[in-house]
Amino acid sequence: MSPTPGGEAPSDAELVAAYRAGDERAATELVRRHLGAVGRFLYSSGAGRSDVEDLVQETFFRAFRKVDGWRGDAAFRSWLFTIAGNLLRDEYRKRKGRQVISIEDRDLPDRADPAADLVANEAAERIRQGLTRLPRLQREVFLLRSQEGREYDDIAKALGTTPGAARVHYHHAVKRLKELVK
Amino acid sequence: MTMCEQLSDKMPAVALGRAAWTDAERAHLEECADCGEEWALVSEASRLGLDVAAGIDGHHVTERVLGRLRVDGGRMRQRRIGLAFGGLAAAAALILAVWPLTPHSRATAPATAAELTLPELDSLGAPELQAVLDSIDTPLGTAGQGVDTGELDDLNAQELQHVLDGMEG
Repeated sequence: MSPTPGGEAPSDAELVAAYRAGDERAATELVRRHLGAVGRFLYSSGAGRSDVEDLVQETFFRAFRKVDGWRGDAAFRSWLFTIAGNLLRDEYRKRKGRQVISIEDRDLPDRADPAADLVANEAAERIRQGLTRLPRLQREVFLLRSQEGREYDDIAKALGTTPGAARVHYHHAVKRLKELVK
Repeated sequence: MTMCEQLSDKMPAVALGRAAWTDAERAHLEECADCGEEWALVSEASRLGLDVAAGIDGHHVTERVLGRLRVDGGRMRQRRIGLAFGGLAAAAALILAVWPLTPHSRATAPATAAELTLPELDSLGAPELQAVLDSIDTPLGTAGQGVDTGELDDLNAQELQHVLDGMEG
């Protein structure tokens, strides 16, 4: 997949169109572009560290299989997040309600200030655990806002709700997370 | 919109480095405990999982995804071909099942189903009718050799005419 005549990188919509026309390089570029964000979303939503790569792979596989389902009204990445969210829900059911999250799989980095890192990691872990206890819509709206900076319009399109409802979900999520993290 | 609401809306963008606090906003964050808590939460959440994402082998994921899509594409093609053949077989079976019920097929049914009325034969006796039947059953190749007319010897002209009319239909 080559850049557009103007020298700009092709948009997600152009890459999806190229993939639909049979260009595998377009799929490679889409994976490269969104891999990290999907991985972070899955991990933040409760996926175990060691499961993230497999779940990312499954998310992209499902996405490309039903790529005709993306009509371009929401951002491609937001659409990927909804697929990843459905995948996590399926995994949760498969494990008969056991949380996918695993506290033990934390790998604490070896840095110059291990005490400060530990405090930071504990805060991050508390947020992560708090996120797993939120209703799905609240969690996904919060992550789309805080990790992607998405506007409520885009979030609403991706999650099948209204911008006003997305705003309410975000504020509920913040309120509950504050309580859970304390 | 209150200052707290304005800051709340702006927090994700600042946390992701797409915007910056003004002095007034920074001062508010220091004074307002509620906003301060929310800012700590959002800024921490914005960094959550960065190390995990960095550890994902993108090349490996891409290869596996594309490999599975190729296999899946092949399966889908086979399934479509199978469905096409299945559809044809079902259509053929349906035609075979429905064909005997169509008016066309009834028209070409064996002649035994047809009812012929031959009033010319009504006045014939049993021997005469038997003679007519025997003559009809005679193979075509032997038709030219003549009908055994021994049993017709006793018939008068009118009765013979009846027999002839019956044979001619």
